[in-house]
Amino acid sequence: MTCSPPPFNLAISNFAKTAKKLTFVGQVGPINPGSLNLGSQGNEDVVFIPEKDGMGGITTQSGFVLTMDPMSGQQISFVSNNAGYGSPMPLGPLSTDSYPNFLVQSVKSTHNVIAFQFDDTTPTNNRYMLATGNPGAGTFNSPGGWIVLNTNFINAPVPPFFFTNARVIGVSIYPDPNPALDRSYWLFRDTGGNNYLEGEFDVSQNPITPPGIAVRGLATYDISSFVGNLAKRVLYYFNPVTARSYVSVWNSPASPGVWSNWVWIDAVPTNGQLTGVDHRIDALLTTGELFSTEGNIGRVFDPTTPTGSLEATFPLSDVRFIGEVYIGGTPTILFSQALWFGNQVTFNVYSIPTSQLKTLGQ
Amino acid sequence: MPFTVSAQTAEPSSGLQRSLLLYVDQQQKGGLTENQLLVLSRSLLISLQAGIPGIAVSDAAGSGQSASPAALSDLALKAGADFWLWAQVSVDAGKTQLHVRGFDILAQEKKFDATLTRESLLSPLELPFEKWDDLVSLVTSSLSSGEPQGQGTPGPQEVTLTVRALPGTLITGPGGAKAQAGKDGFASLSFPAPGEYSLHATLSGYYPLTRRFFLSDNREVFLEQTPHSWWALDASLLEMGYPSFDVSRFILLNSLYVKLGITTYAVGLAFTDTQAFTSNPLTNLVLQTGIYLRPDDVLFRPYVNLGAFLRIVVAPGTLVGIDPLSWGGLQFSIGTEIGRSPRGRFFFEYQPMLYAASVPGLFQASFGSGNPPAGWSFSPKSAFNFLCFRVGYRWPL
Repeated sequence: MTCSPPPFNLAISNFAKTAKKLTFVGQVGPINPGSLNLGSQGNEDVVFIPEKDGMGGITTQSGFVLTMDPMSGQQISFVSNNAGYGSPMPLGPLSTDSYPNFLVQSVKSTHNVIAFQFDDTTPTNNRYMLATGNPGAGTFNSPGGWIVLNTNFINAPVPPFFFTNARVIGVSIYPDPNPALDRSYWLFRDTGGNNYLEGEFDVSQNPITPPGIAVRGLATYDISSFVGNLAKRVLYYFNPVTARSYVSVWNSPASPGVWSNWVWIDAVPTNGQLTGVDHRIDALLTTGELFSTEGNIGRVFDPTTPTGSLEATFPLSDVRFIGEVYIGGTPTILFSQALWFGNQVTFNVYSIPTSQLKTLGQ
Repeated sequence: MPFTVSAQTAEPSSGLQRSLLLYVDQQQKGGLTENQLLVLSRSLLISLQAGIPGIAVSDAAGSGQSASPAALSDLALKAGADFWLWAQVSVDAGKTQLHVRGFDILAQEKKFDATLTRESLLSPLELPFEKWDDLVSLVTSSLSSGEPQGQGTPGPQEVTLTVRALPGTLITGPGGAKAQAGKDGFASLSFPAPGEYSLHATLSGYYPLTRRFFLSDNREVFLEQTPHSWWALDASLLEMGYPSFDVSRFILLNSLYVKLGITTYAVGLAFTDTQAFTSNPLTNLVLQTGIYLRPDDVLFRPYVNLGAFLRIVVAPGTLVGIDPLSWGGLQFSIGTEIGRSPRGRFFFEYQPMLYAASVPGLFQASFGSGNPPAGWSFSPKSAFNFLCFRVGYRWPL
């Protein structure tokens, strides 16, 4: 009988090729999964989101564990010094469509996190919540609770746009070098028509307060040719540097049955499909590139070429993309990896300067 | 040059006439014809009569009797003998062996049970002239050790053992007596006879030899010394499951060596509830240096190794090259060879291995999500397998 199993796992070794190019930020845990109401490996997809420390960096000493359990739905927990505090906050069921139902990121203050929730069938229910952990009090809660997105977030409705009932069908968070806040970009759709509008809102420890900024003014435009008639959900990104907007659409009427990606540069129909970008887009990076983690494969696309082009591909194995943050003034990509040993879960957090992300494919 | 040393022998004591019955047969397919068997019997008879003064020897070869001790005793009594000697000959693999057993009927005691070997096939022409001094000595000592002794039984004497060996060979005998083979290749030692003695022969560059001899008279022996090999090949199983092959090259002959090896995980024995074999596209290349801690003619010859290993992954299309998770590590082993044969020996090693890990936690994760395997401990940048063993066989080349 062998003394032990072979000390080898091809998938992990293959990922290590990628991981060696990443900076190991830190390790969180081991944590008893039961303390976070987690299940076990196999039915849990868990991500550790380190805290943004409000000083232009991150810390793994505290953070948030986002879990996506097909059995019990999704939830977020607060962890500090490898221990959970308060009760996990439920985020509802997994999405029934191809879009993620949640966008969760820590915000630039101590122990705060923001979660956007999207309702597959009723986008008027889309909402957000700020939650705060307190290790001293042993609590994790949201003083303001869930706040519906579609109520008066943009000033001065202009017919035919009816903001009181407008749908926010896509939200993205874009990192900002400001140590106190990041930016979020929202894509609004008119109540009953295909009129669209984009807005910008600060994300910080404070609740998002209207009015936001209509990034292309209050002119509305119709993009239903590629997002679909009365679209309920897209993955939306806005580049404040180039003023280019992107959507990643599942089952677009122009490209049914697949993820397709589209760009527009103004409020008039100057738009086009990025046919070279053929996977779900999970982030618009500060480099102007689009990043996909679909199928646990990292793909970096250059969307500035006429149809977009693939720049790099690399395996992510069981590593999860957390987001892009500024660390010491440098835009940096963060990844989380859950490692299950026996009845304990440990998280590795990795980073890489955004400008070097493509090197993972070399 | 040969030399001799004298020694005292016992005095004959009683004048009791002893009579011996000699019974000779052969194993089935023993290789001798009936005539040859008869010649052998007579050769033994003559040697006994000539070598043991005063003894009466009768020959029962060809009697067709069973060779059971009881039957031989009956046969001896009927022949008026008080001692029987049964000799069974066999010829095999170029050797002639004589299994002899002596029984003293007066003392009702088995006196000896031995095998005498002639390192050649005895031809019919040689048989009558073969000296059976060793047998004569056995019988003589048996008769003199019991209360009844044959008249004229020879007493102890000093005999000379002349050893032919490679020049420079150091011969060590009982009690630390030493002699060194000169340029002519001869060394001599003297011993009280009869008796059985052990000689140890050493010569740099050659495997040491230990030989046992029964001496009843002056004798010359030839030591067939085998040159020590500079190379060795190991075939083994790491962790009782993964095949390994190593080639060793001595730096200091018979002592210090370097070793290059390969361990593959492509095929391994698993013996789990669900599988008998495992297969992983991983191969370890191992470079070690080691040293033996004892001479190589001991039954258990310990050694230690220290080296490094490199993990090579060959998974075309996915990963080919040094394992990015762990380039390899260091390994130490302490083991022992078992046996004295210069042709090959089994070995057993305890071999803890220290793995370098490039990413904290990932090496441990490569074992899966269960509890950490027994015998392993993990740190952020390393993993230590402290319960690792290897068994195998080593051939000098």
